[in-house]
Amino acid sequence: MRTPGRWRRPGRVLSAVGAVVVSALLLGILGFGYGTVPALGPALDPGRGAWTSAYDGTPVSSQALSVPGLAKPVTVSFTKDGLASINAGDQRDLFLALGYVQAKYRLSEMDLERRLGEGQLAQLGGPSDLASDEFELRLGLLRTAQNEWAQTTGTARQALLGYAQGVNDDIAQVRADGDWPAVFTLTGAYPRPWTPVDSLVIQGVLTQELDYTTGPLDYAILQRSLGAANATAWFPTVPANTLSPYDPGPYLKEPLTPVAADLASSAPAGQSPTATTTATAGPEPARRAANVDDAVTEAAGQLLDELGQLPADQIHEYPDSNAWAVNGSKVEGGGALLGGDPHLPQTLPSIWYEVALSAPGYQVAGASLPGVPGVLLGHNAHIAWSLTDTQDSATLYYAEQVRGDEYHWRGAWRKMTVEHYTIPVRGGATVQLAVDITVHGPIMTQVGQRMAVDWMGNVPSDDLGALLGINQASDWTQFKAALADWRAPTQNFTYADNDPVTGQAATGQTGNIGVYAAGYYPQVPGGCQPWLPMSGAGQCDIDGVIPDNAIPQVYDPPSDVVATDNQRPVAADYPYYVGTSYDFYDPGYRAANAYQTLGSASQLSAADIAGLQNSLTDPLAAQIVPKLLTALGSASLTSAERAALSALSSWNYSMSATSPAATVWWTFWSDYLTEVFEPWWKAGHVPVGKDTADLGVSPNLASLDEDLQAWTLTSPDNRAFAGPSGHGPADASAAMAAAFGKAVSHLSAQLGGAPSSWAWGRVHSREFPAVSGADGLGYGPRASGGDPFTEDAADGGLTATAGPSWRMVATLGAAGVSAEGVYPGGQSENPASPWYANLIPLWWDGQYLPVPAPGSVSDDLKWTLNG
Amino acid sequence: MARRLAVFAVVALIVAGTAAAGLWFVPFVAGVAAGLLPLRRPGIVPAATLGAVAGWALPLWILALRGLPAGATARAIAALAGIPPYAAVAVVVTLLLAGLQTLAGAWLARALAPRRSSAANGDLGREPDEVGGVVPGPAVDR
Repeated sequence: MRTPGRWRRPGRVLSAVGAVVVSALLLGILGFGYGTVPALGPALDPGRGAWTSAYDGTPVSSQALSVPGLAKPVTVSFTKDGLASINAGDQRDLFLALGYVQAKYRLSEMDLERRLGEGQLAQLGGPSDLASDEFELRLGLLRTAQNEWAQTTGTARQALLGYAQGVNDDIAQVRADGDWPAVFTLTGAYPRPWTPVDSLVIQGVLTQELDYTTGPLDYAILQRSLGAANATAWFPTVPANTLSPYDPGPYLKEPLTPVAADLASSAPAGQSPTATTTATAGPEPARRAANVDDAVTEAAGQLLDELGQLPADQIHEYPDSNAWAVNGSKVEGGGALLGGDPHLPQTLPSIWYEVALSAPGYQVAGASLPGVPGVLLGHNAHIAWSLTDTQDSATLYYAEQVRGDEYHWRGAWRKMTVEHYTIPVRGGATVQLAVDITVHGPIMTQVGQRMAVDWMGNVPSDDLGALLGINQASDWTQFKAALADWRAPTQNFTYADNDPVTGQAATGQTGNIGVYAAGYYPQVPGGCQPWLPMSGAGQCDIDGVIPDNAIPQVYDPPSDVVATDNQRPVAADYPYYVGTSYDFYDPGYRAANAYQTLGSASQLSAADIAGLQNSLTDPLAAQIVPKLLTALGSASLTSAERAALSALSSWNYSMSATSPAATVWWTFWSDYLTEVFEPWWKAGHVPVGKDTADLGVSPNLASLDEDLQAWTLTSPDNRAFAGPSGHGPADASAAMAAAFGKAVSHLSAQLGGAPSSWAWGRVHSREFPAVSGADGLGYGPRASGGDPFTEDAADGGLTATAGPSWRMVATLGAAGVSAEGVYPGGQSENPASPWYANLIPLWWDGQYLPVPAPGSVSDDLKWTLNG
Repeated sequence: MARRLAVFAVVALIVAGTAAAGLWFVPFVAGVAAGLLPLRRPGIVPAATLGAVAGWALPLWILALRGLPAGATARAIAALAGIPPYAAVAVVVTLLLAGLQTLAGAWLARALAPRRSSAANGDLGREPDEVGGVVPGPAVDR
């Protein structure tokens, strides 16, 4: 048989083969994608692909929309800035409409958050997100959300079901129209239907970001490296500096509230890992704590390595929220004022969606969390509230004795509960994960010493029921009652109302204020050390939580001021354990500043509270700089040092972007910490690389700030100054002089020129990255004032990425309750939308917009939602 | 010239119309068709390729004409796709996909389709390799 003529020449064959191969590859990659490269054909199809997200980027117009499931029509109106008001005939319709509206504007953000919590991020982002998925599935946000949903009843259950239907109504419309947010089209990973568990997972993600810490792991490493004596001295239970607790006592000492042993195990219902499986295998070593041996330290380091692979801000990092309230003589015209600005990672889109909600029996406005029904921070017709993180010790670690699939607890071997997960990975092989769970919680380390985490975020908590309760509360009693079932995260719920002042009804005076730090504060038996990993044998199990009557709280204090700025909420004589100075408590500079500013003022207005929220005064500088000036008074200085010192001597302690003195101060303080502590760290070989933010010497370590502040002010000859060799600076003055010289030298090399040109904004900026992580969709970096100690906090380093995520000031008087607020972002997640970043300029300039009142209807734009 | 213009226009209209229906692979089909055309005139495949590019550009142009934020959307697409976050980059990549599909389709058609007689196909009566060797890809359209 002869080969056809056209195939005789090898060149033609090669051309044919090449054409087939290239065409197949091109169509295959375009149609199905390859690895993490998406299916670009449908993704970039200009008629149906990601380009159609342009339709969603247009300004909103008034229209009627069909939303299945609504019993009656619902009105949604928007101000020209995008602030939404939803008015419904009943609460179910209200939450359904809220789900629909939030999905309209934040669907990809909501999907991303639930994926994060449910360990499905790698399906979207590929192998680089696998570490996050494995961590989350081990930790158990999904298991806890499922446990919570099984226990959710009443209003919260109806709210979750209605909300889920609203989200799904939007998903169905988008699917029918094909106008998906671009991220779905580009990845080909479209959102599955929304469920109530998804909302509870998102609630869990926020809990994790506020409450999950590595404190005991880091402490174990520091203790091992620096020695127990130094670790205890430098990271004490009660910090060395002066405290400004909002609950100064006297304190109740009541019996602990008992809790189940497997309180926070995250094991699925009915699968508690407490059953005995075999006879006792000899006595368990009676290690209660403090036995931070090599195995425990190694396990701590291993876990820190794993956590280091997580995206930024996935676990708790910064303690910088503010919430204050004033009443009585402090308030112009009487009544009360409340200011709240939670300091969280600042992203585009923002974590918040501003909304006013109105239905019979439910009138509330403020900041809501996309994915969760209700308003988290806001006001109703009687009260206003805001939250700051309590920062207490809520993450305990236990070193477990394990053999095979069993662990040893309370004298017997017991079967661990094992949960299996399948993790889809975009562009990679699917991964199988098995999670072992003990009575204390999930095992987080996979080799060597097994470490379980007993995290209060895994306690099923009816946060949504509590939230809906405070949304509807009208006085302090109802407010506290609503929080009775709040378990985690522990939060300082700062409160103000326009009710008659307790005991003063006859005078007509209105406006009560208070703080109630709701949540579970785990307690362990005496002799155990919860700031370190503890033995899992049973002796150091949580034996109860602080009773409700005794948790930190204050109501209508004589000073007419309450201020919660993440400082330690109680004084040194508080009879329960709430954590050490290493537990992310703020050093208290903002709280002291707030108490001083508000306490010395009278006739305050909303503008005054807003001014304090935007304050750039560094209270620590105000204390330390005079000492520095004194220390350098007779020193021989270079011309640059003299100029820098001159800037400091005339400084008003404002960390404004234009201030050269701010640059000198911050660089000096960082170098001062290094001058004093770095020799100890080097001598102890502290493995800083395991967790740079929490192990490295920097202003980020509040304990070190507190130590050095206290030593400089009250014990300038502390032995620490001399260093481990004993040949370091003789005292605080010598250390300050050395640090100042280095700071000026550093800045001369970095910025050049005269110190008068060293504006803070040249080295310090803020940036709001995109939630998607995409370059070009964030905001900044932009030169900015502030530092971690200013009320207008800037956290995350010299390019700050965390700070005031929402600012609100509420005015509560006889005429009612109103509020103004702003957040750095916009209501829409679509970068092409005029509402993507339109609120940032207002936020940046310290301006606010009126928070739409519940029940209000804006004339600017209106939707009518019909069932 | 008229044939090339006609090919350009027909391909552009078909590609633009089918893009709205989500048929993203039509530029490839257009390339195959151009490769199979009995009219082996110079410029037919380039005309089809330009037509496909224009066909994908047309919906984007209409987006902009309707006042939709096409530029901002392009920038967002580029950023989310992990390529430099500039609007022009997303537009170029999108149009490039249309062009590449068409060229690949034409190459495939020319490489696999049976040869016609020179009289039938209207060419110069020479095999491509007779006038300069085998040229891979759509350059065989001569």
